[in-house]
Amino acid sequence: MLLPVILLGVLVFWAIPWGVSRCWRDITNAEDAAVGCLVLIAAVALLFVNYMQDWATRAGRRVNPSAWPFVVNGVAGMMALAIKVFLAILGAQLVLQIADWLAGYVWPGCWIFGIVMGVICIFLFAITYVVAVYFGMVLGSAAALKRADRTTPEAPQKWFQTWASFLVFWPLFFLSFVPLITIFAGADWDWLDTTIGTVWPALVMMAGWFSMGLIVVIVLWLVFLMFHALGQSLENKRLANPLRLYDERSHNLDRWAREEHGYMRCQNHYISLTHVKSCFLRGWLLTLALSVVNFLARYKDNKGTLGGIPTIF
Amino acid sequence: MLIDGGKRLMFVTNYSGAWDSYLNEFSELASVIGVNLIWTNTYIATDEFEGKDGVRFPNTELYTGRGARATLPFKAYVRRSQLETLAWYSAYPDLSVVNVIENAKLRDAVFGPTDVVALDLLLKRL
Repeated sequence: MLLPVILLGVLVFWAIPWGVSRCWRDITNAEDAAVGCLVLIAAVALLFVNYMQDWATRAGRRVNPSAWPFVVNGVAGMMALAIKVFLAILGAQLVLQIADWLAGYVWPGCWIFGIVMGVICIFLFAITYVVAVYFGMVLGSAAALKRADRTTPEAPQKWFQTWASFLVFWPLFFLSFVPLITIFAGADWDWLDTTIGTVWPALVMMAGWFSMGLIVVIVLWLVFLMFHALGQSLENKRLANPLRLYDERSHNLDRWAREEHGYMRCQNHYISLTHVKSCFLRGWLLTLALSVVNFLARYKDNKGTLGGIPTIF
Repeated sequence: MLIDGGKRLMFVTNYSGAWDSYLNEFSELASVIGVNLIWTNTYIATDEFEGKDGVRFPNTELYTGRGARATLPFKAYVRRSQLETLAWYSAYPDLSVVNVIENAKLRDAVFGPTDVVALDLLLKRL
């Protein structure tokens, strides 16, 4: 069941950047960078799964940016993501040209150079924050990012996990750049060599690749939503509105009495059987959703409250 | 789980408390996204219901929004897709799962070491 999830991850974070890089030969070596991509993805997964522990208790809830874990780790992570979004919008090559232009008119190390880059980063942070919140809400993966309550018995463990993930995430994050740093160690870019060294171009290239994958995912998602809305309007003509079933509620009085007040009032059992819509994409998405639920039930919500539901033990 | 080569979806669950409150948790908590992601891909096949081929799940917005949040159609859909269970065994039908777990802890505490702290915890459970 996990296979679709793994395939999707490989497609989004490895195959697409690799394919794009093949069309963009002058960036860098694709295979070596892909290794870095995979390490970075592991780090990002840790970022979202591990230390953002308190999942939203209500769907659609907005992320609270003032929470402690966000301040400590999240801001830095979002800044890294902001660079990716910026590069996605402008393209990695154009960024290099801007930096080159800045180096030509404003000498390296000048305070103006720092201010310009700082303003750009703040702007990008805002964009990235909106994108992250949107996707977090849509995908249900938005962390509530609540401040750990030190009065509860589990609080020390939460704080330990927060700091442990901090120690795990950032070494992994920087480790992901090692392959590209190695590649660019001999790069013949004077302005880079004389300013920041070889780390910056590696960062740019790495972020540029991820941004390509990110943008492709966003576009695919939007296209999918359009098809979904279209398909739903067609289905509405073929299938009846479930609200019409409500008129038949008197047929269910026996069941209702049994489950609400009868011998099944304390413990209940339920079986549902429905048909899967015929479109292949529906079947594929259903398999994917079931895989995610299966994964969460095994590795995250395996001690009660599956999906925040307190009655599922 | 998917059955019939992926043509039908079967959902089996045991839960505590009443059916109505159980479904409210599905439609009000964060899990509504998961519910929508799964059941928006399904429909109930019926024989000529108002001239249609079947009954659809409540419409979703942006794939994960609304859907099960529309409580009445969601509950109607769930009830219509229900299959009667022929046999289901419960060892303690008059107790909720929470009560069963608490009683088990109480039994362990009674037969466990009886120092002051354990005795205090035991009395708190009563």
